[in-house]
This record gives sequence, C-alpha cells and structure tokens, in this order.
Amino acid sequence: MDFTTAYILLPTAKILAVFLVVLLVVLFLTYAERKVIAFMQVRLGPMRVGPYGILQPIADGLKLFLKEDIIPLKADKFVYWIAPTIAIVPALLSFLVVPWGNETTFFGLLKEPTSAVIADLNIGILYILAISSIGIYGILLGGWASNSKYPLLGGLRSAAQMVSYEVPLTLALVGPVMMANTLSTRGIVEAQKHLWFFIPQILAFLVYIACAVAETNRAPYDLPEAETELVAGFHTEYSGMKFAFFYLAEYANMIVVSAIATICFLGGWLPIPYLEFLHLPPFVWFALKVGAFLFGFLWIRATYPRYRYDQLMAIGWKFFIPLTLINIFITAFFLLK
Amino acid sequence: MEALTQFLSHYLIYIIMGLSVATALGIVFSKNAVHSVISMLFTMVLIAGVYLLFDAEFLAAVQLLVYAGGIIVLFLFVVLLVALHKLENLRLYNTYSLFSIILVILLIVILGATFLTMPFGEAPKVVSNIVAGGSTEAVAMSLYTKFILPFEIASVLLLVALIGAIILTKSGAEQ
Repeated sequence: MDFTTAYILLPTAKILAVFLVVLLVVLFLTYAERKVIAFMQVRLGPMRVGPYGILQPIADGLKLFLKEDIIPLKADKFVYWIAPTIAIVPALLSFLVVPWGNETTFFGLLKEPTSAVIADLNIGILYILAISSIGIYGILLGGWASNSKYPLLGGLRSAAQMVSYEVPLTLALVGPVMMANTLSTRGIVEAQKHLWFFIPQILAFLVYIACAVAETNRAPYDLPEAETELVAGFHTEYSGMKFAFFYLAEYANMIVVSAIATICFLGGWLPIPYLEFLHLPPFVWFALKVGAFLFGFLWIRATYPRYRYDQLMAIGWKFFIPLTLINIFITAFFLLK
Repeated sequence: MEALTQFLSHYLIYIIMGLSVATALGIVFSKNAVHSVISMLFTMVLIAGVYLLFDAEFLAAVQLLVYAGGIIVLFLFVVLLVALHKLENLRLYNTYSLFSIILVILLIVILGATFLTMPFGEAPKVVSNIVAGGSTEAVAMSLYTKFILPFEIASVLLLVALIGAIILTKSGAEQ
C-alpha cells in the first residue's frame, strides 16, 4: 500500500462510511422511537409518509432544514450560534475509536484487509470519555445564551446531572479495562473471546446502563427537558437546523453509549455463543448488539416515569459511585489473587 | 501529499501553540465572563492537542477529562449563577493596576530564567525505557514507583480540601 492510500484515502473512506452509517441510523432511530413507543401504547405511530410512515424522518429533516431560524432578540448571538456545534461535534468524534469488526476489506474492494476502526488509539476508552465530556458545554451554553429562564434552568440541571453521572460511568468502565489490561477498544473486545465481561462485571454492567441513560438525558432521567416544569429545557428557544443539531447530538450519543456497552461488556463484534454456526459477518453481530441496546433505551422511555431531581442526585452520588468503587475492589482482588 | 504531511508534522505544533496563546488572551480581554470561560475551554482543548503532539496521549486525555470536562464546568456554573451584570460598575478586573504589573513582570522574569536554565535535551530516562507500552504505562510506572510519595501527599491534600469544603457548608447551614 503506498503512502497516499494508507494515510489519506483509506482513513477518508472509513470516516465517510462511519459517518454515513451513523447519520442514517440516527435518522431512522427517530422513526423507530416513535413507532416502538406507539406500539407499546397501542397506537399506530406515523403512518402517512410512505408505506407505514417509513419516510417520516426524511420529511422531518426537510422540514427542519427549511424552517425559519429564529434567534431571540436578547440572546448572546455568538454563544447561541456555537452551542449546537459544541453539542454535536464531540458526539460524532466519539465514533473514531468504535471498532465494528476485527479486519475489513470493504466487501472485497481492498486487496489486503485493514483494521475495521478509523483509528485504533491505545487510549481508546479514555478518548471516548474525554471527548464526550465536552458535549455538556453545548447544552449548558445553549441554555444560557437563549437569555430566557426555562432554558437556563434546563441547562444548569443538565450540566449538574451529566457531571454527576460521568463519575460512576467512568468508574464502571474501569472494571472491564482492568480485566482486559488495555485501554484500546479492539484490545478490550479481543480479551472477551472466551468470556464476555458482563458476566464477571455484572455490577459494573448494571450501573453502566443506568448511568448511560442519565448521561444521554433520556427518560427516566430526562429532567433537563421535563416539559411540565421547563417547557422543552435547554433548547426551548432553538428552531430550525440549530434545534436539529441538538436533536442529532442526543441520538448520536445514544448510539455512542450503546457501542461502548457492546465493546466493554458484550464482546463487540464477536458472535453470540452457541450461534456461531450462523456465520454472520462481524459488523452484523455488532449492529445486532447495539440495536438491542437502542431498543432498550426506547423500552425504558415507554415504561418508567421521571425521577424527582433530589432522588436523581441521591442515587448517583450515594448509590452508584460506592457500588462502582466496590466493583473495582472486587475485580482487583480476583485479578491479584 | 507527502509535502503536506511534512508541512503539518513540522508546523502543526506552532499553529496549535499560537491558537492556544490567542485563546488564552481571549480569557483576559473578554468583557463578558461567559466568553472568558469559553475561551478557557478552547485553551484547555488546544493544550491537550499540544500534549498529543508530544506523544503524551494519556496526558492529553486526562487534560480533556479533568480540565475541559470537569473544572471548566464548575467555572461556568459559578459564572452563570452570579449576576455579573450588576457588578459592571465596580471595575471588577483592574483595581490594582500598578501592583499587578509589578507582579506580572516578576513572574515573567522568574519563568524566563527557569526556561533559559532548563536543560531541554533528551526525554528523561525513566519514560524512554518504559515507553514501549504507550505513555499510559509510562505514567503509571513513574507515578506509582518513583513519585509515590508526592502523589500520596497530593491526594491527602485534596482530601483535606474536600473535608474543609464540606465543614464550611455545614456550619453555614446550621446558622
């Protein structure tokens, strides 16, 4: 492989492929959310645009694109403009280290296989955590720049919640990292060849799921946009494409946390035990596992009522953080034994 | 293409350093406190970029996680909750001009002297020996073997500060 192919063409091709897939999944995740929740509530959901409403997300996207972009008169224009960008860029950058397989030839397009990840950083998991911690500013600054009381309160709530739940989320991922003895996302998946980590790390797994829902501001932890108290929370004043960016960032973050859960606990692209005879390609296994998590997100939203704010903080600090610390001690004990 | 990569590998560090100085100036010269905090956020991210270019990827990730992701959020919280527009007439930023100019000159002299006498040569031997496992292992090895005592002292100091903060808020609540 010559220099241009190895360092310019191949990474660009990978980036385009990943972004295209992610944006398509985000688009149809909004459709899946409306459909799944509708079925759980014995409704039909969107039915008008295309067969069974399948073209609804495209119509929604077009509508958001053409809508008037309203900026409040007393808003801080620069911050108001930059906040949606700060929200979406970290969400998309996280996919840099998400491996969808061991090696890929892009369906036979390449002669020699290349690693199925944009960049196999040796700080993979740490990189995702570091990058996603920047996403908070989008919400916080968007809430402040609108110069309106509901967005400000929503933004502050959201930032407090995300900062609090980042701690147990990070600590929960320490267990799998200790067992795999590496921070690289590919290394962690390869360490699960014989045993998926969700069995020895069941405590960390459960805490991770709960914190992941809180980190993406989804129900039952969706206090930043509790509509009965705060209208729509931090994006009340946003419209058009700026609103769409916040919306995209939320769904992209859902995919990111589902992908991390798959990588760290459910064996990434490895086939499900006892189903190896199906001989599906690795990316299909990966997509199946991530899809199961995403369905879980929607299921939880349709099932549970919202927490009260003090309950939310109490669970995070007094229950999840001690639990993850105990999990680290137990893991260390068994590793050193 | 190779010419472009050559150019980037030589000059990217200067571009990033220049940008970080520019955003650092933005912290000081912004009239609006929230704009200062945003400049500070960009400075922290750019400094992580500088670490990255010096092959200290672990330090870069920690810089993002702790400073950009944690500390600046607290800064922003304080700035958002304090009604700064009420303090505009108080000349909040430059009350002791002469005194601060003297201090800054002193600081520049000390930092400059340290910079000039610093033997910038090869990387320390400890790191270069263990660097095979990436900088994460190198940091862990030197932190938990050679520098274990300062590390533990720092952790105790942080714990004391934490307990102090809790006690201060507690006594305030009882009154």
